[in-house]
Amino acid sequence: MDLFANLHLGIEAAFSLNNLFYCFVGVLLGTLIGVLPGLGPVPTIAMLLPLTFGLEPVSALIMLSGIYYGAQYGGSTTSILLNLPGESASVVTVLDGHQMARQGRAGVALATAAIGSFVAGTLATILLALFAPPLAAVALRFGPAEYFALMTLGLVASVILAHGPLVRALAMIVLGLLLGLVGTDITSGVNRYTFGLPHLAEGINFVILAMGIFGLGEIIRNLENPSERGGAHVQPITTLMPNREDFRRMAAPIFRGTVLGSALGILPGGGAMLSSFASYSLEKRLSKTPEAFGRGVIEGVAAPESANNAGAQTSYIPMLTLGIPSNPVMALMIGALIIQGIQPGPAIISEQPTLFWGIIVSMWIGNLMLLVLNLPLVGIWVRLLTIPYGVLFPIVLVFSALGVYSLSSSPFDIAMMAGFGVIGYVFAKLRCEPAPLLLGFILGPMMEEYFRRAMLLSRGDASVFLTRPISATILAIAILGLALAIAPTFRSKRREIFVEED
Amino acid sequence: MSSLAPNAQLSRRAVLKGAAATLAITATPAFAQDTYPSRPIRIIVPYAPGGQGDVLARLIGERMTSVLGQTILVENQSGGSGALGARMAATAEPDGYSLLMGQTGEIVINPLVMAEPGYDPAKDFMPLSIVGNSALVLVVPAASPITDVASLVERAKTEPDTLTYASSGNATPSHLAALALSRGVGASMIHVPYRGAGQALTDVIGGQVDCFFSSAAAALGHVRSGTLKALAVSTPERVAALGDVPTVAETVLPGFSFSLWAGLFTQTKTPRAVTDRLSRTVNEILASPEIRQRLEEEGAAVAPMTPETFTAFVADERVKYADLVAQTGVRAE
Repeated sequence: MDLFANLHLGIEAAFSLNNLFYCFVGVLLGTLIGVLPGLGPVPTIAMLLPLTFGLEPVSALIMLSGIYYGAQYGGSTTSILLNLPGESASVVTVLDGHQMARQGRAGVALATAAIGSFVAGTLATILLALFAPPLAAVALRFGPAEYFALMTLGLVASVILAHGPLVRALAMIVLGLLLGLVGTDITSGVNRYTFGLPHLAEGINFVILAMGIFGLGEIIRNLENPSERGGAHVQPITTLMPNREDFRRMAAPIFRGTVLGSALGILPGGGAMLSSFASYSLEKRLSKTPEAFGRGVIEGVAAPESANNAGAQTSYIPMLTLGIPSNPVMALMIGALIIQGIQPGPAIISEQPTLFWGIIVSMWIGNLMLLVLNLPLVGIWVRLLTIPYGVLFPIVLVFSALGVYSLSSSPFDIAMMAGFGVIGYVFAKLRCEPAPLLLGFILGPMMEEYFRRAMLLSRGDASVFLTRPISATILAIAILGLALAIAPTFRSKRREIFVEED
Repeated sequence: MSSLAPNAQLSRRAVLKGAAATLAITATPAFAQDTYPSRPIRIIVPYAPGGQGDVLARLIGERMTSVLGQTILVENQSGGSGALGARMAATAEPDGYSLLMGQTGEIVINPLVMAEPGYDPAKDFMPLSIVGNSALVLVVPAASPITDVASLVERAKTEPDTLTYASSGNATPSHLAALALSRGVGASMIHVPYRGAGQALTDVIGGQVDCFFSSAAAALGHVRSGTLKALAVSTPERVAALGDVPTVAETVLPGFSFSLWAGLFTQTKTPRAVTDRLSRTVNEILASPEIRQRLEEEGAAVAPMTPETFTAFVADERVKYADLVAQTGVRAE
């Protein structure tokens, strides 16, 4: 188990001209895919799977991985520039990223996202190299009760993350939870709110909801009020790169985001998507100016971007060492490996060292390539904003529709997206933020599934959440967080009462 | 200017006439049967990419591309436990260009447990060739005190509703096999459904559930490295890759036979010439040494069957599952 010998193996594999080429192709494709709203890494990787037959397993995985984290980088571009989150990981980036763009700081936001992601990727790769098997063992200690506690923490994070009146945020979260109910319940098999439509049996797809509420809703609102289109289209871009002050401010959030993202990414049960919400909420809680969050603070971009990139890298741990996918992209990678005749699992590190270490080293190379690719591109992306809105919005519309159609080739999905677009417009008029809704939508069904499974396994004993140490700890943090989030509301209410009495 | 106009119009008309004539000549009907296949063939996989059926479809599809000379495209259409993709295949043109990679779930089980699957596999599909047949392996966590299937059954009988078994979903083969086992021996275990085999496997490895009927391919790696213990296999004969693991039939429940199979299906009205060509091609590919070895390593190897044999096989499976569903009342919704 000599680390240097293994790294040497990996470096040899990853730095071969062939594999460098495939890495580059992968990250380039991934960035392009990520930038297009709606089109995600899953259909791209699925389309490119046949190409990987003729390649060596290492090369195939390197290219596919490049697409995966390239898409993460690209996704933050659309989030910041167009207020369009392409996947759940980017939802939080729109909050402050787009606001920064409106203030003429789009370049800084994009650069922050790229730098944060690179640092996080590097640190996560080192973590992967040093601790992959022990981390996998830790992840296995998480059972349904622990995941439920984690999701509860995530919900609390959504409350903290929300801007504005608490009641409105709670209402949006609950609405999201309700929308998440649509579909087949896994524990009992009952179809809920599907109205007999087979298409809804799997529930509403996140992309449709996000594209509709964020994307279309925003477009309708912008068309209605040309003057309110935001500074990004009116103000000149002041600087493209972060200045020294920005670097100082983003350092700690990047580090915290990396730690959180790495920890959550290991969990096969889907902790990675929590990483961006959790890190954003953490930054907001730790900040001296929490009310500035949501108005364009750099910490609000640096932390979630670092967290989700770290999570993306560490989600390779359960995939490679246990053969268990924590998200659809990992399932595809496992499929690609199986086609090549390699079954990922506990033996992979000893049986396929070149593959394992080659992928790890290549991850770092991929992150470097992405940084080198994206920083100069910031200038070009920012030029996108100078396109007249009349030309920009049809393009965004078409790509969103394409992205939604690529999910399951169904016109019904596009109609649903349009419907959500109208709803998104209504929310915008009512000044209700959509982000908590999306978080409730993702977390609700998962919370329910884990809760019921935990109860099944404990034979109906609800105290299991408190008797299991990890679950109890997480729940305690969640309750504490909730109390801290709500307390100011009470304090200000009391102040209001006193003011009125005066 | 205006003197040019009539000439321009004339030449435009001439061009249009010429184009119409060309189109008329070239618009001959395609005699597909004589030159099958003359365009890419798609295999519809009713599950998300990366799963068992998807991997098999891509593996076989790649070979078919070189043998038939036309690209095989794998199209994933997931939803409704395979019903969405199966429905799409059922309503496609019966010309041999839209095949279905059908597995136990959507071909046999769905019509038995769903109120309205939207298709009838017995009427809509013609079985072409079986592509893989893999046993289910009853696995327990490595640290489990249970060491063989007989003691598992003993515990399940003496302590009803205390042992838990995972499944990859309601009314999936892993669920039904465990149900058949517990009913057959007169025991009762608690069913814990998961969203897919990956999640179920995670929790067995982590020791959250007591046992799981996993697919052989997924379990092999873990059994070999010791993270899971294999108690028994679900097929009538032992699995070559797990030579010293007994079958359920030889230990606790004679006659126990469950497996995960996948095969290529086409629409019932597809011309005979096309179906013969397809099934011959697939069987040749299956018999080739590399594919055979690949599948054997995963415990999924199967002797090639003719369409008639495969049809009889599917019919037998239908009877078996119908009996089980009738006795237990399992529903998918």
